[in-house]
Amino acid sequence: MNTHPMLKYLKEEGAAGPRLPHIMCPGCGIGQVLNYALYAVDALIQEDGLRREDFVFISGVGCSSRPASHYLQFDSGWTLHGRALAVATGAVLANPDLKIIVFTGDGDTAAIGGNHFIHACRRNLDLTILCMNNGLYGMTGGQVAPTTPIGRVTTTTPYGNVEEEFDLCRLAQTAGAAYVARWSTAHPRQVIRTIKKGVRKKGTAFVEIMSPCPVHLKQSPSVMFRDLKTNTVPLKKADTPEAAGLIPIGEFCDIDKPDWISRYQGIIDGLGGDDGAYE
Amino acid sequence: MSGNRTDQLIQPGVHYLQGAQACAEGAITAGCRVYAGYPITPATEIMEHAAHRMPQVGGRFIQMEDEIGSVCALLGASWAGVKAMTATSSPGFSLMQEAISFAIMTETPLVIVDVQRPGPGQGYISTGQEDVMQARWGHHGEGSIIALSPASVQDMYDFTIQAFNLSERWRTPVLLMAEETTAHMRERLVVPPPAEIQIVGRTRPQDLGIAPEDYLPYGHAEVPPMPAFGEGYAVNHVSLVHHEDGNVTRYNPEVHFENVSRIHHKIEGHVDEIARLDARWLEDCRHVLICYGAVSRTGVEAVLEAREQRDIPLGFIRLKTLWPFPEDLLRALVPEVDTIFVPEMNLGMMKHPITAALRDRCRRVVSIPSLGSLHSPELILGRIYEELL
Amino acid sequence: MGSVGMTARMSSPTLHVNVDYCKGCLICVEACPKGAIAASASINAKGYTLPEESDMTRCNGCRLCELVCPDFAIAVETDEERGAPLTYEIRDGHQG
Repeated sequence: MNTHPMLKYLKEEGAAGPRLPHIMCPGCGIGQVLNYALYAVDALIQEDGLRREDFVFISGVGCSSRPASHYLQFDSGWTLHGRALAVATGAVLANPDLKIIVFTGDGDTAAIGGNHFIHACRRNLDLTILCMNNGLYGMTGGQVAPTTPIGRVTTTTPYGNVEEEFDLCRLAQTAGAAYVARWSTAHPRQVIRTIKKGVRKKGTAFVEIMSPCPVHLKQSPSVMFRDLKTNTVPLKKADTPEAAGLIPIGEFCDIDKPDWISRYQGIIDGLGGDDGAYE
Repeated sequence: MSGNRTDQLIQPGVHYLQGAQACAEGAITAGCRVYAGYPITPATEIMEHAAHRMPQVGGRFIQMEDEIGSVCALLGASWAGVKAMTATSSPGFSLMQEAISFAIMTETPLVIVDVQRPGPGQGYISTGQEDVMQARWGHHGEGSIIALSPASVQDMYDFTIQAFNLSERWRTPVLLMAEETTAHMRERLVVPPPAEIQIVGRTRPQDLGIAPEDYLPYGHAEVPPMPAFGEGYAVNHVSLVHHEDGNVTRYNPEVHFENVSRIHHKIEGHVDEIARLDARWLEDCRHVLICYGAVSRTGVEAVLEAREQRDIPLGFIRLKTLWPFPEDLLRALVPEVDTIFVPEMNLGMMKHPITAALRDRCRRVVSIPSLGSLHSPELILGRIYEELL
Repeated sequence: MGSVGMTARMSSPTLHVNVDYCKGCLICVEACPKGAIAASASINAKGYTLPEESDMTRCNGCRLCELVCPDFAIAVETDEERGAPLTYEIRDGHQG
C-alpha cells in the first residue's frame, strides 16, 4: 500500500476541513499508542468477527485523551479530566455488548481520576484501559504528576520533585483489576497483543504504556524510543540487582473472575416474574 | 438493555407514596433504565428506591464512589442510548456542575434531581430552595438549562416524566429542583393508564433518513439528531467548541459564536414551549403572590385566606418551570399591581428575575424569606398583612 | 511475528512518506532493523526532516516503520501487494 494501513480507521477530512496530522507533538508516544490500538482493533475485527460499530473509545482530558477527540471513525466520547472511567461505567451499564477502550494518561488516571480508577478496577467492569504514562502533565506544559520520579525538575517542581511516584500497575492490581500489564511504546507487538487480550477479557484490563514526551523532557524522539528498550526489564527479572532503576514490564496478573455485568445480571434474572412490588 | 418489563411498572390507579419513591417511579415510567447515585441526605431515598426497582424492570443500578462519578456515568449511559438519572442534594449538586456544563455543550440528555437542603456548607438536613440560582448559573460558561419545580408527590411523579421528555426533546440536561419537603412527604399519587402518559425519545439520524456518511453530529437541525453508540454513526462526542461536523480544529470566532449561541437559543428561544406555570385570581387582583416548589402549598393557603378573610385582591402564580425563566409569559399574565410577594426558602433568589420581568408593572417586590423550614401560612400572611393593612 | 514478505521479490519495496502528516520524529529510522531508510536532507512545509529510502534492497517488508509511526505518515509498498490491501499479522500467545 502507499498509504498507512491504519488510516482507514481515521477521519482525515471532515466537512469543516482536514483533521490530520493530529495534534500530538513529533515523536510523541501517544501517536504510537493510537496506532497500536488500531492494529489491535483491526486484528479483533478480522479474527473475532467484531464490527467497527462494536467499539467505543472513551477518553478524559490531556494529551493522552486527544486520540479520542475527533479523529476516529468509531464512536467516541472525549469527556472530563479524570472522569473517563466514570463515563465508561455508565456506557457499560447501558450496553454491555460494547467493546469499550479507554484512552487516558497518568495524571488523568492517578491524580484527578484516582478515585474513579480504583473503583473501576475494583468493580471489574468490562473495560480495556490504556494509560499512557509520560510521567508529567503534557497538555498544560510539563507539570509534575503522581508518576513523576522523585527529584525530577518540572515546571512545578523547579527545585526537584520531593514526592515518590505511584506504581500504577500495582495500584490497579491491588484495587482488583483482573488483567494488568505494563509495556512501553518501544514494545509495539506486546502492546498490540495485550490490547487484544484486554478486549477479549471479560473484566477490567489495565494496560500501562510508558510513553515518551520528547518536548517536555527535551530529548530526541528516536533516542527516547531506543532508551525504552534498555531501561525496561521483564517482570520475571525485575528483582535482580541488575534490574535496579529499570522499569519492570510484562503482565502483572491475569485473573478469571465474574465481571460486574454478569454479577448484576444474576440479580435481574433472579427477579423474573416478580409482581413489581415497590414497598 | 436486557429487558423492558412493562408489567413491572407502577400500575395505574391510586397509590400512597413518599415523594422520593414517586420520583423514582416517574423515572422508570419515562424509560429510565440506568441509575447511578451516591448517598446524601435528604435525597437518598430516591436512590434506594431505584436500587430496589431497577433490576425489577430490567434496568441497572450502581452506587458510584461520589457524585461526580454518578453524573458522569449518566453521560456514558445516555450516549449508549439509555435514559439515565441521578438524585442528589445541594452539596452534591455543586460537585456535578462541571459535568452539567459538559452535558450542555455535548447536548446530552440526562436528568438530575436536586433535593434541596439549606446551605451554605453542610447547612442543615432540612428543606430549602437555595440552589435555584445555582441551577441556572452554577455550570461554568454559557448555555441555558431547563429546571422544574415540583410541589407535591404527584408532581414528583409527573414532573420527572416531563423532565425526561424535555431532556430528550431538547437534547439537554434537565434539573428537577425538589426540596426535602417534597421528597419526604407522603401523599396520594394517581398514576394514569399508560396510553395517557406521553413518553418522548430523542430523534435519531436514522429517524430522519440520514445515513452515517452524511451525518453531522452537531448539525441538521437546531436540536441535532443523536445516534447511540453501536449504531454505526461513528459519533465523536466533544465539548470543545466545534464545527457542525464535530471537527474541533480550524477554530475561529465565528464558529465559536455560532456553536455556543445555537445551544443557548435552543432553550432560551423556546421558553413558550418549555416553561409552565399555574395562575389563579389574576383577573381583578391588585397584588400577586409568586412562588414555586413546596412553598406553593402554603402560598396558596395564604392567598385563599387573605382573599376570603380579609378581602385582599391577591392573585397567585406558581412557577412550575424555574428555567428558562418565563418572562414573557409573566408579563402577558400579570396586570398592573401594587405589590408582588415572593415567599422563598432562601433570602430572595427568584425574586430577581421576577423583579426584572415585572418591575414596571408594580410599585414594589417584597421577599418573604424562610431558611431551613417551610413557610407556614401564618408567616406569609403575617408579612402580607404587615405590608398591606 | 508476521509472515509478510517472505517470498522472493521482483523488485525492492517502495517507501511512501506522507509529507503533510510526517513530523520528522525519525522513530522509523531508529526502528528499522535493516538500515533501509534514513533521515533525508529535505524538510516539509512545517520544517520537519523527512525520512527517505536509503537502501531499499535491504528492506524485507517487516513494516516496523509503519508500526511505530506516531502519525500514520509512512507506508511500505511491496511487490506482492502492490494495489492489494494490507494485512499485518501479529500472532497471539507468546509475550515478549
